[in-house]
Amino acid sequence: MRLVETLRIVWINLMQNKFKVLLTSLGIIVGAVTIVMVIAIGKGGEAEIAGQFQGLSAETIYVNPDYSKTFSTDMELSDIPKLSLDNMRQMLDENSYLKDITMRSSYFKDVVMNGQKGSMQVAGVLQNYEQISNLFPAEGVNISEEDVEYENRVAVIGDGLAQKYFKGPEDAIGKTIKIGEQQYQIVGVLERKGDGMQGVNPDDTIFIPFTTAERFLADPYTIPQVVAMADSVNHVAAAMKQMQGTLDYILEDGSIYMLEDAGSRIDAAMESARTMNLLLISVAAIVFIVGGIGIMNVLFVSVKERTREIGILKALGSSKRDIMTQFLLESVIISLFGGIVGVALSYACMPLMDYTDIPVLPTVDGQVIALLFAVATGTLFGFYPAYKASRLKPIDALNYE
Amino acid sequence: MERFLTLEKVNKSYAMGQERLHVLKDVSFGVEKGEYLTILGPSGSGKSTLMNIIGCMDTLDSGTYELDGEAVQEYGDNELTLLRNRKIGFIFQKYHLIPQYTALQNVIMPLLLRGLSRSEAICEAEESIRLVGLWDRITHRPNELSGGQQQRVAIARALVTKPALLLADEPTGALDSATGKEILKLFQKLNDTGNTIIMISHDVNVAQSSRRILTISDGRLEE
Repeated sequence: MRLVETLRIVWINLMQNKFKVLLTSLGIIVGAVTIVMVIAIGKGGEAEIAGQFQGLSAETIYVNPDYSKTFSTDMELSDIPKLSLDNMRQMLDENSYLKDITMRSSYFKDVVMNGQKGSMQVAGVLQNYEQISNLFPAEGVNISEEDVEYENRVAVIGDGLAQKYFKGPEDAIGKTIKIGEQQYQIVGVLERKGDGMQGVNPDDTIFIPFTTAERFLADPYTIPQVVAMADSVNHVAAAMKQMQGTLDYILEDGSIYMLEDAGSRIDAAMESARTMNLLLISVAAIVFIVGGIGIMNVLFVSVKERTREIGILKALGSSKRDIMTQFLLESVIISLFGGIVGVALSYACMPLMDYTDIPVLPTVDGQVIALLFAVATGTLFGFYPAYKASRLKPIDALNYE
Repeated sequence: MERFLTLEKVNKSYAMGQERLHVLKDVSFGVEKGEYLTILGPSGSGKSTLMNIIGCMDTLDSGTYELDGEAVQEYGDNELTLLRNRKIGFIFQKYHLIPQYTALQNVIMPLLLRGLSRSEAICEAEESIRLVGLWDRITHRPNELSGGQQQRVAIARALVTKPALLLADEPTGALDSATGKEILKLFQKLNDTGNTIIMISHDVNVAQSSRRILTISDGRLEE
C-alpha cells in the first residue's frame, strides 16, 4: 500500500475519533509542555549564573576568611585577623603574576535616602574597584583615589536605588543620604547591571570609600575581602600559590584565609546548573513515559475494538506491514499532534512564570527536543500494539465479536 | 471447460482442549471456470472451515489445493495475503464493511492495498459500483445504508479486483427474503458475465439458485 494512501486512511480514522485523539495525546501534551518549560528553566538558570558572573573574568582571585573554621572550632568570627590595606599592597608587590588588587568590605546598614529609611547593602571599596568589578558610573563620577585617601563621605549608588528613591540617576547626584549616623553626598550613579554578582547586586548597593567605611561602619564581625586579578588565566594557579605564601608570612596561620578563583566558581556554578537541568529533564522524561503508557493503553483498546476491521483488511489482502504501518502512524501522529499542541501551549505558559521568581529562557532547542521526545514516545509505545495488530490471524479477527 | 480449482484429500483438524476435532475429512472436489456452485451444509458441518481454506485464510493439514495454477498448500502467510488480494473476492454474511469509511472508500480498499493510488483505484472501481447499482450512494457510510445496500457495496468491493473467484459466505443470511432474492439475482447476473462463484449456505432454497450443489456434513463432501 502506498504511504500516502495509508496516511489518508490514518487521517480518516483519526478524524472519526477526534475526542479520543485529544484525550490520548493529553499525556504527550503535558509532557511536551513540561519539557519546554523545564529546559527554559534550566537555560534561565544558566543565563542567570552567566549574568551573575558577567563582567567577572576568570582571572579574578578572592581572598575570603575560611568561615567553616568558626563553625568547627571554638574560634569566634571576631578572632579572625583582618587584612589591612598594607597587607593587600604587600600581596601585590610580592607577586609576579598579579595585575591588580583591591579590597572591599560589605555591610548591611540602616540608610535614610530621600527621607525614606531602609536597610541596605553598603560596600566599602577602593578607587580601582570599577575596573576589577566592571562597574562604571552612568552619571557623575566614581570613588576616587582622593576619596579613599581622605576618607571622604561620598557615595556612589546603584541604578536600582536611584530609580527607587529618586527620579532617576540625574536627580540623585548631589543629594545627601544618611548611612548609620553620618551624612554622605551622592557623587555618582552606576550603570544598570541587571544581575547580581556573588550575592551582591550592584544595582541595589551603596558604594563608599573603603577607608571611610573602615572608620565609621567597621565592626569586629565584618572582615574585608581581597580581590586580585592575575595577569592571565594561565597564571591563576601560580598567582594563588604566591598569594598564599604572602598570607602565610603575614599571618600566624595563613590557612585562616581561603583563596578561590572565579574560574572554578563559575565552573562549579555551571556544573550545578547542569546537574539541575539533568534532574529536571529526567522528571520531564518520566512525564513522557507516563504519557506513552497512556497512548499504549488506548492503542491496545483500539486494536481490540478494531479487531474485526483488521480482519477485514487482512481478508482483502492487507499485509502485516500495512497493518503495522497504519497503527504505528496513528500513534506517531497522535503524539506529534500532542507535541505540537504542547509546544504551542508552552508559549501560553511562559508568561505565567513571571509570577514566580524562577528565571526562564525559552529556546528553540527546547521545543525541538520536546517534539522529538513526543514522536519518539509515540513510536516506542505505539510499536507493540501495532505489532499485536499485525499478528492477528485473519479468520480469528473476522469472527471476533 | 477449464478446471481451475482443485482440492485433493484435504484434511483439517483443530485442537479442542485435549482432543483434536477432525473438521474436514479427505475433502476432494474441483471447480471449473465460470461455475456457480453452492456448498450446502448445516452449522458444524465444516463448511466455514472449508470456506476459509478455499479463501486462502487458513492452511491445510494435509492434501493439496490448487487455485488458478498456484499450489496454495505450499504458501506461507505473506503469499496467502497476496493471493487473497489478487484472486479472491470475498462476500460475507455480515457484509464486513469498515464502518468509518464511505462506500467508495470501502470499495477501493483492495485496490489501495494492491498499491494503486486513490485516483487510479476510483477509475477502476467505477464499473463495479455501477454494476451493483449504487453509484448515487458512494459517499454514504455503512450505517447510512440498508442491509441490501451494504451487501451491494460488499459485492462491488469483491468485484473491484476482477478476481478469479467470488467467494460468498451466507450472502443472504442477514437480509430479508425479498432483498436476499435480489442479491441472488445479482449473483446470477455476475455468473452470466463469466464470474466463477462459490457460495456457502445452510439454506436449500438459496442453494437452488446456483447451478451445482455440493453437500457437506460431518466434514465429508458429497455431490
